Amino acid sequence: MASMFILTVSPILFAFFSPLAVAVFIIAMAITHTFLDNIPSIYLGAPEPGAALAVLPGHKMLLQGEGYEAVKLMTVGSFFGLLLSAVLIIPSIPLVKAIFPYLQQFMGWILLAVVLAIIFHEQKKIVALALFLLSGTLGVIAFNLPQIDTPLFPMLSGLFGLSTLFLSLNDKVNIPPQKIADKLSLEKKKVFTAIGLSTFCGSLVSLFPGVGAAEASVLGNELTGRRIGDKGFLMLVGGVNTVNMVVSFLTFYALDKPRNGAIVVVKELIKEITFNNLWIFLAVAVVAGCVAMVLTLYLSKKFSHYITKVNYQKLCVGIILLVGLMVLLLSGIYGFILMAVSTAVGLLPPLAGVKRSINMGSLLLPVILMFLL
Amino acid sequence: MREKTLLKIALIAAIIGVIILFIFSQQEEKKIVIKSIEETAGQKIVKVQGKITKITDKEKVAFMEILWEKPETVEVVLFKDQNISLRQGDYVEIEGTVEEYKGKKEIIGSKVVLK
Repeated sequence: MASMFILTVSPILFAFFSPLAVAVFIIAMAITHTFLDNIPSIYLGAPEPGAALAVLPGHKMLLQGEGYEAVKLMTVGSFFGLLLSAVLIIPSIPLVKAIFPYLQQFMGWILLAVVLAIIFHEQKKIVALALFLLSGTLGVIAFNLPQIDTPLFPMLSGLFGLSTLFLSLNDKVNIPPQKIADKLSLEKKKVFTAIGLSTFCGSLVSLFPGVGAAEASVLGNELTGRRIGDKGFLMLVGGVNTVNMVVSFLTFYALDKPRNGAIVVVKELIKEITFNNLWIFLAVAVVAGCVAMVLTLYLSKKFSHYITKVNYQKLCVGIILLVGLMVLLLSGIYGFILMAVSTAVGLLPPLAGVKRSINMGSLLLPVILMFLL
Repeated sequence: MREKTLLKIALIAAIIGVIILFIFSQQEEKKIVIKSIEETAGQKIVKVQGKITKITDKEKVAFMEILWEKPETVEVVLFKDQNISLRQGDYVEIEGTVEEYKGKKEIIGSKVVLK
């Protein structure tokens, strides 16, 4: 959705400003999106693809009155992930150019190892494998549907967003009063682990096509042996989303490969990125990140206050209808059917007693097959 | 609704739904065999058959002129993702999208079949 907004706005701006100015605007907007997206992910269960995995732990915290802290964790992860990746980008340029051709050979195997780790960690391994294969099959089919150009939005909305909302409706949950936490209740060791891993994994996956923030989150969580807990995981997901965006400047500069919609538009505008441009983009990203962090926390406080005044059941129904309408308008009837089927698949892991991350098979299996076959 | 009931409904819906989506994925999107390249404004994928009258074959892209139904040629640009060998005089079927370049319509080929 963020990429669509950028693609719509940029031609209008191009009529009035220079290409570099428009590129700077797009980057600032894209970075800000990675922060502000944390709010609907937690409060409305309506995440962007990269934050899909944050929905369940975030929703859990929301129901415990800790929605603000959940957003804060993701936002802090985004901010420090942004700073760390901005510092490391320039020294990483020669390394990326040298190792990229070799890494490409192993990416499929790395992801396969992640999948096996996810399944191995489950108590119900056979159920986990079956559900992984089911969601993987859904993903493979979705990416090969000739009737839909962009299957990600309907598929991930159903798998992670609408399924959570339907379960909330079924359980008749109500949002309790929300606490506004001044401090984060996460140990320093887990904070450093989450931020470090978000930078590493977010950078690694941004080098490759078809692999994004969602896969990076799964990889990061498995690398820690899931020891960072739900709160650490939220910080990891927040960090990965922003790092993925920042490191896409690096892939564009070092490898001439745009890896997301915003950088594709930037490439159309300025054709190639110079070393000076890279500095400008990094500076813009840091400034935008600072503003976005303050804005996100301010808006989250407001949301925390107003969300308890709303009938949550009606809000869930409203969001379900809104997302359904958006899918219908953007992806047509086939997209709507895909969303409905994805919702059914998305309901299965929590009902079967298996982690929802198993549904990442919808993205992981197609990508693994792409790399290995 | 009980969770076991919801689980059963979700499982049945998921399996049937995936099967239905698989059937949809096997449908080929309608291709339009065009009568004239000028009529193709707004069409998504078009197909043209004809003889290559001129070809400039580079490493990653081939520029071709195809002589087809009427005595007129259409420009085709084919971005190659593998080695293909086409020569002047070959009869081909090209599938692609119509784009405008310097005021003239041309086809950006996505698939070529040697007849």
